[in-house]
Amino acid sequence: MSKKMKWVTVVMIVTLMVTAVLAGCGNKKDVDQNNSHSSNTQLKNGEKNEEVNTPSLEKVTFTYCPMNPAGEYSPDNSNETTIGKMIEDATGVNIKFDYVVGDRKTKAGVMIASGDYPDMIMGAWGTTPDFINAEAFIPLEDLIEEHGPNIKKLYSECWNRMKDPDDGHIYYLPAYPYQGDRNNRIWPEGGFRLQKAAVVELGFPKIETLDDYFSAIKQYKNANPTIEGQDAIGFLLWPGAFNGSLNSVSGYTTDGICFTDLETKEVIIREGSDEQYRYFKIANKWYNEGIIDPESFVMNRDQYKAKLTTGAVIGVVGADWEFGEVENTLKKSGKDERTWFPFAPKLDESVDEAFKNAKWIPAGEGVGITVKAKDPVRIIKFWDYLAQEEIQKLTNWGIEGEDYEVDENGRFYMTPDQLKKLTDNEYRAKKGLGQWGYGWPSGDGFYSDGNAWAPSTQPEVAMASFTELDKKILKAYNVTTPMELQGTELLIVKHHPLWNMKWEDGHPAVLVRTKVGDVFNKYWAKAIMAKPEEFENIWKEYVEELGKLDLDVLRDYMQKEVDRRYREW
Amino acid sequence: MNIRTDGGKLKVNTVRLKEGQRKICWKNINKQKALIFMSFPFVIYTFIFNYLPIWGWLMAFQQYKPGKSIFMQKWVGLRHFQVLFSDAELLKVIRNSLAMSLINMILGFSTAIILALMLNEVRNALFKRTVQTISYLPHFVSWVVAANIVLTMLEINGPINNVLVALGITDKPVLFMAEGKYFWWIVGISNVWKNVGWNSIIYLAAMAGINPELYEAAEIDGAKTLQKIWHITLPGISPTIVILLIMSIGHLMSSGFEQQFLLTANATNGLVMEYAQNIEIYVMKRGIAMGQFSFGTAAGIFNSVVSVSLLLIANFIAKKLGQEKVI
Repeated sequence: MSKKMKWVTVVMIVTLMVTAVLAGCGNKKDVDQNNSHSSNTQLKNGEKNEEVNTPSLEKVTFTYCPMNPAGEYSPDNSNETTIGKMIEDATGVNIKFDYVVGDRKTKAGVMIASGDYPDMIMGAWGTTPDFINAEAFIPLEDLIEEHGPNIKKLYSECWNRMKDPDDGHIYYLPAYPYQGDRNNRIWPEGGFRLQKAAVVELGFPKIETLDDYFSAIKQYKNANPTIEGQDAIGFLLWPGAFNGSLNSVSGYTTDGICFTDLETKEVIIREGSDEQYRYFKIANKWYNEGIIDPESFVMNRDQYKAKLTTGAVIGVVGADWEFGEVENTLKKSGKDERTWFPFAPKLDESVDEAFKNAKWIPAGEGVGITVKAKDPVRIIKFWDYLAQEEIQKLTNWGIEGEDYEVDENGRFYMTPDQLKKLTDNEYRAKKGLGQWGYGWPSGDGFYSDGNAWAPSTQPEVAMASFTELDKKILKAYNVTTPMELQGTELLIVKHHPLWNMKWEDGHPAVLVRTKVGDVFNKYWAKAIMAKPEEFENIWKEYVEELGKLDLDVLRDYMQKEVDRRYREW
Repeated sequence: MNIRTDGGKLKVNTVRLKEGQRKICWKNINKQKALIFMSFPFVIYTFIFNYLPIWGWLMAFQQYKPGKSIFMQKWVGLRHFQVLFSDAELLKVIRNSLAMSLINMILGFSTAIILALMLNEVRNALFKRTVQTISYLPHFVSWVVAANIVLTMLEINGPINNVLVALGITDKPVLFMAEGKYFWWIVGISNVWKNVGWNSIIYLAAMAGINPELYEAAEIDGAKTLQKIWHITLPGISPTIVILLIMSIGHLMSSGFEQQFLLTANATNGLVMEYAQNIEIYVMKRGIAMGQFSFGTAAGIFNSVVSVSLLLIANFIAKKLGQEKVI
């Protein structure tokens, strides 16, 4: 190559590399331009809105990040669904979804660091405090007072709870404020579940304490060492659900790492407590009898689900939404007897009543309007439209005559065809059903006409989807719904649930809480898997390690929050 | 905030320079101007992304909350460092990091070099290429999938236990993920499976650069295959090995995050955590409590300081031994 050619080549290569390096820097400007362009359009609409002072039907698109990944059929725009289109025709509003790809905290972090927010964000999975701390949300209470009477009505009971503990503003609308004081559950949310085949074969045993529960598993396992061609697994323990259930079996409300005495309002730290000792001792006993599967302590969620789907697991514990997918799969292959029936055993005889069902008034996370939204008034009006009972019926139940029927008493019910469509995910996604609940102003409980807010808790619908085995078991226990086994009274507990309390960034209590979690993690599995004679020593070591931490700081912090809730709510 | 001393300016020693002597004069620069020109974008890149952000180390002395500018944050001084160094766990965490890194390094180097040596001897081009492709495919699989594969293989009813029981090595299946002491080796071996093919590529490339006349001369002298490898191939790639070794030592403190996180079922497996918790997992767990950004930065500063020191020490030793040096 001649010298000149060499130089030309070098210059070309350098230019190429420089372009490559700078290419990454180019994008932000374009994005900003796009943003300012669309927001200009919105501003125009907003201005028009103010001038005319009637609900504008100008079409507008708001961007919304639900902080969740897209499902298989999730739409990109709300107007792609039937119900979404109806809503757009009535309000002129279309919602463009910005789903999460990958980790939620990362996406939240990126949004906060860049200041690049959509119009609305649902602060799911613990991201709400992040957004509030970053001052990404605007205060809503005045806007709601002025433009959102239906919102106010829907949230009237939890109005005080939505206020931020530090400055009293309302920054988000939480999900599912409960309407009414009656229990609407047909199937309990949590519970220690026993395979339906076992319940039947053992003659519908009395399951009052944990020992009863595990004995039943042992009996069935001895009689059936292999199930569906696999070795029978007695109890497959999912750590999160198992350790969280300690609150319930001990007769407390689910408050996370503490028990709150319902009389004295006193906070007791759960880790290292006497109840936990008894709990682990029981688990240890049954582990050494070979009832609890050792892999429970090391498996990840995929392995857990895989094992559950084999149908060879006799007992599990957890919330109903954890098993929905698995149970659907089993039912589809005709193995309903391998799905589970929930029970509410007590820790032991000394507990009066387990699984106290408290009214869950949400706080701690919800959907907010960001500082980058150009037309918050329009958004509030849109939310207000959604919060009306009629529209709630539309988004939860569907279209009358297509998705449900109304009988002569005004009660909603479903025909067998409509019932089938309840579990058809594709149909529901295309229709737009179940998309306006979590992450939108949407209620739970009962409408003013007495119907349940959503089909799953309407007795007419839920009981129609009972399987043959369900009916058989219910009849044998002399109850009409599985919830009755757990207790149907809906307690009104003011501080509940404590697990969604706000933890101040950098407060020493937060560090203590993390360290408590670490110590707990180190010892809990060891204690359960130990030989019976070693259990006491391991427990002693565990409590000693906990004693080295500053538990008072943690307790005081939570006690302060409990007291605040009783004062302000 | 890691300082990376690999990549960046490639300096080519001209014949006239002596050890440690550097003549920066226009004549020399002019001779190498093509190379300097070509490396210019990388220098700018390294400066912008690796040196410029160091001013962000300020975050380690604050309680950083995103959304506000760095100058409007609350200053907490050395609090994060205090928490870091007063934590009794820290020593164990460093031990775990170093142990896993060393095991990974030793296993990684030996297996990659051995594989390269073996592949180098293969004459059948098709076979060689097939083996290469198969061996470096796992490198592209994300650890999410790879960890699932590893966990499934190690299950009580999984293939590894089945083989062990069938061969009579153990009478009962072993619950591998319940024993902390196995964890380091599980990490090491799964790392080898994942990366041996990829790592061997650079050695194969280095081997291709060895003068074939040396092999012919050895053949004439009656050298056998193993002798050829020992006397020609290994010394021929030793500069590559030494440089990669020095750079690895610079990264000794970072033993990986995804691997440890996923193999412990998203860091919830308490039974092995004593051995599995390396600096990355520790920072993640503590960081959430102490405000991720600030605490993570403080730990990162500590990490960087140690890594740079290790790198300089390794470089110095290499220089003294008459080997290649990076700096």
